[in-house]
Amino acid sequence: MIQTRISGAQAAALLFLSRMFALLITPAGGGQAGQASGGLAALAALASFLFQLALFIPGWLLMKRNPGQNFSEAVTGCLGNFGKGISLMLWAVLVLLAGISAAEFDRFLVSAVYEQAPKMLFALLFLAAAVYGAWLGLEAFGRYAYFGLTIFFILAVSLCLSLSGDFHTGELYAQTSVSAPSFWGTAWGMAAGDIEILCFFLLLPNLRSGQTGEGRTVPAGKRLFFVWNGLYTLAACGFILLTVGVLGGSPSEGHNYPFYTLACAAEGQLFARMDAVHMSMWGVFGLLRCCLLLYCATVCLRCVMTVSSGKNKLADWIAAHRTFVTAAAAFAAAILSAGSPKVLNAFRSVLGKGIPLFLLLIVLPAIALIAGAAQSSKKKKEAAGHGEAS
Amino acid sequence: MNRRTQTGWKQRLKQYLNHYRRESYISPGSDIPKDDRLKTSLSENMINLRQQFSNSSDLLNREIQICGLKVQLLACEGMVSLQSFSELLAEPLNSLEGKMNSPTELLSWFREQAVLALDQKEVYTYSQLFQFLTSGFAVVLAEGLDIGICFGLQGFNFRSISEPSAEVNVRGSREGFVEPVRINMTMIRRRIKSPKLKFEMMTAGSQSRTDICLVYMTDRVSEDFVNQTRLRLQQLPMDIVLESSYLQPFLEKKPYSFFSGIGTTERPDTLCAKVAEGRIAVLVDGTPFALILPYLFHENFQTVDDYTHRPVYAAFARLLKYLSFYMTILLPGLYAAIAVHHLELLPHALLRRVMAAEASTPFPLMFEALIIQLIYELMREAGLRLPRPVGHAIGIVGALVIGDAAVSAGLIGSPMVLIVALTAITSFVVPSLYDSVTVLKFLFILAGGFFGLFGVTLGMSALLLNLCSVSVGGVPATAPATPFNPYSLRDMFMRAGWRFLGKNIFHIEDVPGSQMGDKRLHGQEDSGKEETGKDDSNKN
Repeated sequence: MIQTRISGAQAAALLFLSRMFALLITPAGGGQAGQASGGLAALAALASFLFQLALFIPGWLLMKRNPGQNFSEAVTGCLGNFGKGISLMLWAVLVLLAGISAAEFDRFLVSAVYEQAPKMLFALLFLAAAVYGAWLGLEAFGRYAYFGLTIFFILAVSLCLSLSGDFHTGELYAQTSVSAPSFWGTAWGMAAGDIEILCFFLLLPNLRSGQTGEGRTVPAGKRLFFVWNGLYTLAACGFILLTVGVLGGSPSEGHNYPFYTLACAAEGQLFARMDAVHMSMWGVFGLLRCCLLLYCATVCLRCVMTVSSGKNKLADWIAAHRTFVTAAAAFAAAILSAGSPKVLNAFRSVLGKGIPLFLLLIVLPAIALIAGAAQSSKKKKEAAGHGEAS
Repeated sequence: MNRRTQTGWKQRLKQYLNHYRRESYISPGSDIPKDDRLKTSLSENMINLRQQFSNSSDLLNREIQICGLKVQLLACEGMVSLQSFSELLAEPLNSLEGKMNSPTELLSWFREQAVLALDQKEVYTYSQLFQFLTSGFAVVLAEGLDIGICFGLQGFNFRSISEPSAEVNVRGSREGFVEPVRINMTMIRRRIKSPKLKFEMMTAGSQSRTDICLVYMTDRVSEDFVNQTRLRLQQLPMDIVLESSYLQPFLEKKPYSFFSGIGTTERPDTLCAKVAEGRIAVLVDGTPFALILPYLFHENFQTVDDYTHRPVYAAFARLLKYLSFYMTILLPGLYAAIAVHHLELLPHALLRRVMAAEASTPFPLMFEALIIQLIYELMREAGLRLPRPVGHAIGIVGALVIGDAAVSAGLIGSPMVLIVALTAITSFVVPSLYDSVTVLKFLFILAGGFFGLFGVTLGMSALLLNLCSVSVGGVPATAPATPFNPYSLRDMFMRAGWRFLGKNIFHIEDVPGSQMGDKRLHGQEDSGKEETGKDDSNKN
């Protein structure tokens, strides 16, 4: 069986764009750049890389211990049936995030661009396209990520060029002091949405360049983390600096969607305004994010539900139709989030604090590592006992 | 009872679905028993053959006596050249009078002495006999022989070699493929005189038994890919194959896409260039269009002229083609999206003109765009099918109705006419993608009209995802753009000079992301043998 594989560069592009979408669409006060402002917000973006690294290391150690397996398989292998429950939880988190991403984009479109459009319409359309992408497979949307990356660079350059005249360096020094807790709080807030680390661990066996003769994916994967997160940190820093330099003060003050406000200020030679162009292109990044989340969710579901010999018909049916089940759950999550602002805000505040990511990427791998180490020491003891007995 | 009914319903549904699944296809069995050998009795053979032909009137037979032996001369009506038949077969047979004493002597004369035709074959079964007769061979059956001798004396009429109609070029060869597959084979062989070029004949269609020919270079093609293609063609679930497009869906991995990973050409020079890159070509008897697989998406934008012109002009022409493609599918949709939902994007001067033109029309802009595109497609279809003089008349009427009358009557805005005219021109710049862009144009008008730029972006994303999922033989159709390879880009958006292009031979399996096995058919074995030979000679 030929396994679906993408190159490390495709994966980096995919993860980077997914992360960028979360940055561009999240409204002010949504946990991204809430406290530090001015040039310090950009510094906080740089500092957030340390938190991302901290979130990465425990999972990475787990993956290193279980080469050729994805995160869900590794957890299930270490924790048994409890691990299956964890995989199901991972599935739920990923599906929920896909639904929330669609709902966020819907809210952004309705509040900023299409003010008279009916609620949920864009979320459902958006999610339908994402389900199609996830159904086509990792290779399809992995390849599409290159197109997305090209679009991103064109947009970024055009934005910088069109706003270069309005950039005021003085704004960067408007706020020079901030307390250490609020600075680090801002940095943690920026790292807290990095669900892409989890997606990365789930995709690791599918990366082509990382495969060696023994099926190990370790060396290329580590480099990949630094590429995509380094690129993201620099891009986030640049966008924050541009926003502060052009709009002034805190990027969140007085602007509901600061990056969209930035795009509104940009003027092109051909078009009078560029905001709608930027908005529609952000949709491309969002589509990739949803495709990625839905695909990773199906990967988790595959670990939980495997086709048995007809013992459990429901489990068999879910295993055979996991993309459909995942899509249905994502639609439900999107309808729930897009239909009620309270629910969306509640989800956002929980995710913005970074508690789920802390539990999934630090606590869970730590437990799995301990359990795995205990299992292997037990096996060693048993093997030693057998050796002595024989 | 209820449970039983449900099970039955499920089983029926499963059977129905399985029928449409690739794996369940079973090639329809031949109606001629393959092991039914020819008999020694001539009359029995003739009765059986007549039965095989359903007593069809196009089977011609003439019984003659040669040295006292009963011999049947057989041919299909109009398939054999009468002149060749009389000069090469009938006259030498008549001159044998008194020289042969037994059927075996006659057979050994055919085998060892006679040179009646260059293409001489022996057949042992009725199915083989049927195949050769219907392919234009003349056949000799003799009393006491359970073997038929076939002579390639084909003389049916066919269109002469002419310039390909769909791939016209300014410089380079003017030859295009014709309908008989063997003529096409000679055109390829004349261009590649390598012993590594291989033609592999097969038949497709259980009833039509159409001759198809796989063309590849044994030292450049992947063995797995050849085996896979051969297997798919052997398992073809078709009764009749009349054109190469009949085979296309069965060679694709995912046939439900706007774009294909299989290309077509009617130019022997194009086909030779592709075969030299390690691809497989499929020639089908009865059509001048050959299939090339795998075919990358960007190759739709390449023409023979790109390689005969200066690189600078070729690069410019290629960029024009890309621009035309995107204009065709996106321009009407973008216009509908911007004029309906995003007027703020337009500069003031342009906005005033667009508003003035559209304010006087009674229909909503999206509806107007759909109507005018539909009228254009109707006129094009009518002009295409009608005799040429009438087709011109349709063109004139269309130009007058749409271009002048509709605008002056205030039914359609002049910017919309301009856009339709522009997309009509650009749609012909890349003819191989015409089918896809025609449908996509309408879909993008709907997406843009209903959902604005968001709809166009979402539609374009879905389209690109669809394109990215296309791969044939493990080669992604979007390569080398994605998966990206900067070196392969030298012949994608631009065309590098021959000094640079000729440095390294491009192999399709070297495309990034390719999962095509790199095991060549004979290349590695041959090179290994050469090396061994050298070693041996050194030892000696």
